[in-house]
Amino acid sequence: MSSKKMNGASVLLKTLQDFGIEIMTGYIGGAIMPTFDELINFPGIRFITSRHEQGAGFIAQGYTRACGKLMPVMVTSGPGATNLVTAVADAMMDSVAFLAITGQVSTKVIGTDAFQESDIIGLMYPITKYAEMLLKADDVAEAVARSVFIAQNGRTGPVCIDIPKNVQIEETENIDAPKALDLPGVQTYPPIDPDLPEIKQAIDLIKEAKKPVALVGHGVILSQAKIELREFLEKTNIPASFTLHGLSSLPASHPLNLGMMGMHGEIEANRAIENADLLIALGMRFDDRVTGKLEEYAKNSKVIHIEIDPSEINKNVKADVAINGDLRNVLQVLIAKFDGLTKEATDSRQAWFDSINQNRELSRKYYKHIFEYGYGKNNRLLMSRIIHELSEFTKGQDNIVTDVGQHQMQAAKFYKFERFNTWFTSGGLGTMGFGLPAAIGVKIARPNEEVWCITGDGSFQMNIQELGTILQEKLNINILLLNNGYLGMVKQWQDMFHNENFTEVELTNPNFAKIAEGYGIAYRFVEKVEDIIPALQWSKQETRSTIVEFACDEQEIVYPMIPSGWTFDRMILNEDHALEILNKRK
Amino acid sequence: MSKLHTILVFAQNKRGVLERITILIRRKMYNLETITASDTEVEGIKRITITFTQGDADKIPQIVAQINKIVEVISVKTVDSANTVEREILLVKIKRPRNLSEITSLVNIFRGSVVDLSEQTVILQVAGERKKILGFITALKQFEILEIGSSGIVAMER
Repeated sequence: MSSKKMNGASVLLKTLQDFGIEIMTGYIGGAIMPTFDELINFPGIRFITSRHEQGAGFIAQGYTRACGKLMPVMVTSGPGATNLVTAVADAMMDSVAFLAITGQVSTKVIGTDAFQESDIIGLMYPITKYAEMLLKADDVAEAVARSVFIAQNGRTGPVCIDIPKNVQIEETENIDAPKALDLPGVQTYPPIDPDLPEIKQAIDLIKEAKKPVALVGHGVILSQAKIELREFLEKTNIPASFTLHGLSSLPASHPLNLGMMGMHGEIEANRAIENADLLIALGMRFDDRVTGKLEEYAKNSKVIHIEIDPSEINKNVKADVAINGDLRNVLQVLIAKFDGLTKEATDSRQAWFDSINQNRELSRKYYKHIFEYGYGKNNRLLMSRIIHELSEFTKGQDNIVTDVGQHQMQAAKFYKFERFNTWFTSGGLGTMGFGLPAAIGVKIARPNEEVWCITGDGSFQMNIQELGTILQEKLNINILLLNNGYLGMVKQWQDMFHNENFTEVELTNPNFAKIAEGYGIAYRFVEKVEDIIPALQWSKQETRSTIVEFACDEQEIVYPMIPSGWTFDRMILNEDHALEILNKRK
Repeated sequence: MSKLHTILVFAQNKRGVLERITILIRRKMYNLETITASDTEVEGIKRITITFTQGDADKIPQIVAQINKIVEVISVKTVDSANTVEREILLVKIKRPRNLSEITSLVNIFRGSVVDLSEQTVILQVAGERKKILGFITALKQFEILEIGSSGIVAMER
């Protein structure tokens, strides 16, 4: 033990620095001030002040998703910490490594309902992998080391350290984290044994499958299995569909890429899943948006589930073969062990790809009006067309960050991702307001790349204050505001399932040009298809951030759609089909 | 009575472990029957016995997997009731009957004891399997029961 003394605040920052932390975000306030005081002594740590703690949480998520490194979020007690809760819950649902550092009132007054006191540990328990309050400065170094480890190992996720003000001020000689941590409940993944019986069982199923589909999830991105995924699919000749978070893990132009699956998935992806004899789930958790009616899902197919979190196996869908491990490692083993398809399987592949290609044709037919015309019923722009133009303009190479709603689904469907891990969205929690701050985080992580924040008029206004962070940090982000004056996805559900009762979805919006001006952001308005590309070109060339506002058609509906709880065979293909299946033909 | 499913958890004795477990049980909508926590032969390790009602049978592997993810949890498993001793202690307060021998003979049948006697009330104690505990309560129906309290189940594998 060193005889040098430091206060708890300094030990916290020193330990973070020792673990390679270069950047933090958050918002100052009373109970965390002693730690902010010490920031000046740690010039190696850059601090980004957001405009709201939730914004800071999503800045951190964007950063971590883009570069894989932690960006701790430091906020004050009470409202500072409660404001952060949504971003933490979002990180939990989407398995994003996240470290929340919340100030707390002094230990003497904890439990007395002191000013800005709230039970943050109690609030954080259900939405974190781990949360602890530090009661002594002596414990800080080890606790920070523990939290950093837990957030980044196994299935990554959020961790919270709650640190009372007096603990930040108190001095300690414990300034170095111990080398070894005692963490019985944290699973780490040593390379799996290639001779595991499950590996052989999986290989046997793959070899014999006549109609296989891979279901590719976030795990592929999180385990950085870019090369392994491609090699596995190519070697086994298996087409792949993607969960919302699996997008961008295989180039869209790859012949085995079927696009997104599930509620708003592509016809070719969903039909393949519906008719498959083998589903190979790679780092995904069979979310209800992916399965539709669970009792009918995968009824006629075998399931191989490869997953890092053992509690996800058999949670929603029963696996015939389950392999618990790091996806990249498991794929490497499967690639090495695979020695070709059986003759029967080889022979039946052609028919399988023929049926997939027929469904691809069907998709193209239904999207024809988007590509050839691009306007909706009210003669305003279709979101899908705008995204399509963006995809063409950027050749699928740029970073796409979205909010939540119709624009998000259309971005997932019409942006053709060619580069690994270039898609950032809020999936599990579906948090409106994710886009703008997350785009800030992605831009900070990838300063030399283009970042496009695709948002809607509803979502944009949920964290619009983060334009202030852009202003302060002088960031260059391209914001595409797809404004249809409505909460489009809710309106779509009202249209289809709530008797067209359009309650509380129409928004009276501000003058976004003036908002842009106030924040020093360049602005353009687009209402014609032929103006889309020039506006994108202009936005890219601008050296400051831009908002391009598009006049979008409020009648646009995202198709196809498997409504919540429906089976795959009842996928609604297009408007005509919707009128029929929903008994709405007048 | 319906059969119970018993889960045995060993965890580091740290703040919040029990809370994390109970939050999980509520969040996943499991039907908790009893939960007990106590020291073990190893300092710093707690044993927690949790029982669920039968309706949750198909959910048990899931709750075991979920509890296993709690950082402080060292091990968690479902116990095989055929190979496990399960006990709880029951305290019952009844109105003191005119003839005390009626109650003492009943208590003896269940190998229990009279642990407190006042002018108005008697407190009885019985320890055993849940079946025996419930049987004892049924047998007491002829008396006026004022209060019932039990420890919850502690399980130990052979």
